Amino acid sequence: MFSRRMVLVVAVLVLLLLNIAALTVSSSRLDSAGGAAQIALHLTAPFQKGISSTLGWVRSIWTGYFNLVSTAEENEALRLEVAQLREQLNGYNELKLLDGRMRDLLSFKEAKARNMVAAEVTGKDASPWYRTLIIDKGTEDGVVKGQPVVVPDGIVGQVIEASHRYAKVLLVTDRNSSVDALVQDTRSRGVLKGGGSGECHFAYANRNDTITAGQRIVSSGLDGVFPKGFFIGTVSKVNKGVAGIFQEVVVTPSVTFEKLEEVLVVMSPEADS
Amino acid sequence: MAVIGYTLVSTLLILIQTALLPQIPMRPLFDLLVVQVVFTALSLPGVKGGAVVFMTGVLADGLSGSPFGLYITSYFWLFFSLQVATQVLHVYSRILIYLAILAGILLENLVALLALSVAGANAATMVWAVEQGGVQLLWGAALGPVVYLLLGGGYRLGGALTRRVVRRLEGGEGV
Repeated sequence: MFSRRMVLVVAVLVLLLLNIAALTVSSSRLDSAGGAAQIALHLTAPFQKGISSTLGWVRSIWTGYFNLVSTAEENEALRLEVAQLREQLNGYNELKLLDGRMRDLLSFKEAKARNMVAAEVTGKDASPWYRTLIIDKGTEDGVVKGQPVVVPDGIVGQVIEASHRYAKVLLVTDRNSSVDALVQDTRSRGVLKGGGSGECHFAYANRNDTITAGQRIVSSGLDGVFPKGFFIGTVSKVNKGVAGIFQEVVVTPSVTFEKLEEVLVVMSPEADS
Repeated sequence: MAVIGYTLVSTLLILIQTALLPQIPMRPLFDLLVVQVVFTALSLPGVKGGAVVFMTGVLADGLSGSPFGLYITSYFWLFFSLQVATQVLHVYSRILIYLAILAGILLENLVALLALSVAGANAATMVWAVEQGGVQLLWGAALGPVVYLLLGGGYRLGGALTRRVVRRLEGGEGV
């Protein structure tokens, strides 16, 4: 009655519809990856960490190379000596920078007096539409889904997936991210939502509130995820429009996500609130 | 053996995209795995190629913050279309490779737009996503064939090395 080709075409169409339906359901859920994400983290994150560490090492070698080039005009004996000294110095500089970063993290950690775990960024989301990071701490270190991730500059995001040794962090700039926030000086409330393209939007800000460019946005602590008072970003643009009860506020995040190397996972935000 | 080899290459490309390229300021802004899917579709038969493409999609979806299925969907339908074009319609030419890479990038962007719209993205986000798609197509048009050639070279080299190792093992000489 039906030709084989006809049956195949119908089967393909049914598969296509099922696929679209599954993707539609998946798109409306943030944790749609489930076990697959843990498997992917388990399989690839150790290699990501290896690549990140190797790159750090290559970078220090590269810096050493440039240091050598800068001394090329000096005489042969001195050049050798300087090269050796610079190579040593480069190593010390790397240590000093690391020490500085660690001290910043430590003093920040002490200042906030919260239980935090330091983690290294091993990978970043390859897709341009979504913003996530992979860090080298997982359930083994007490990292679980929903914990906030911060740096001294401000809020980075929150853990959305954790495997044994690695975790996936949703950045505040991702359009699925929401943080209950305040304008620091006027205490105007709103919800900071990721814009997807690097900026954030301070949504639901009352039109009557005075919000101007340059004001600082901090977390309110009312969402039960992010601790109160963490810096998130600075207002960069305000548009009140002609109608509506809210105003449009664009916020530039305080964290430079492209240069993140280490982060802190806040273990118990509710304990000190 | 081929399935393992191709999946390892997919994993390597994922690592390059997530750990290596983010360190480079002027990195190519298109999905290198699209090229890998095109290569797989034109090199492996249906079931083997399908398995590679599925595993590639699962790994890409698992590591990304995207809704699960975005990459599997894009890769599967690109793979399926190429299988139909080459094995059913017997269409094959060098220009097909180029068009397939661009079609793959376009398909991935369309699937992403669908996912974004379902998740309630506003007009500004959709416009930004369309712009991203345009940028990706330009990068793909410029670098896609180069990546394809590099992959081809890599597979030839990997295949030759594997054959040598297998011959040695069969000859009892050890590696």
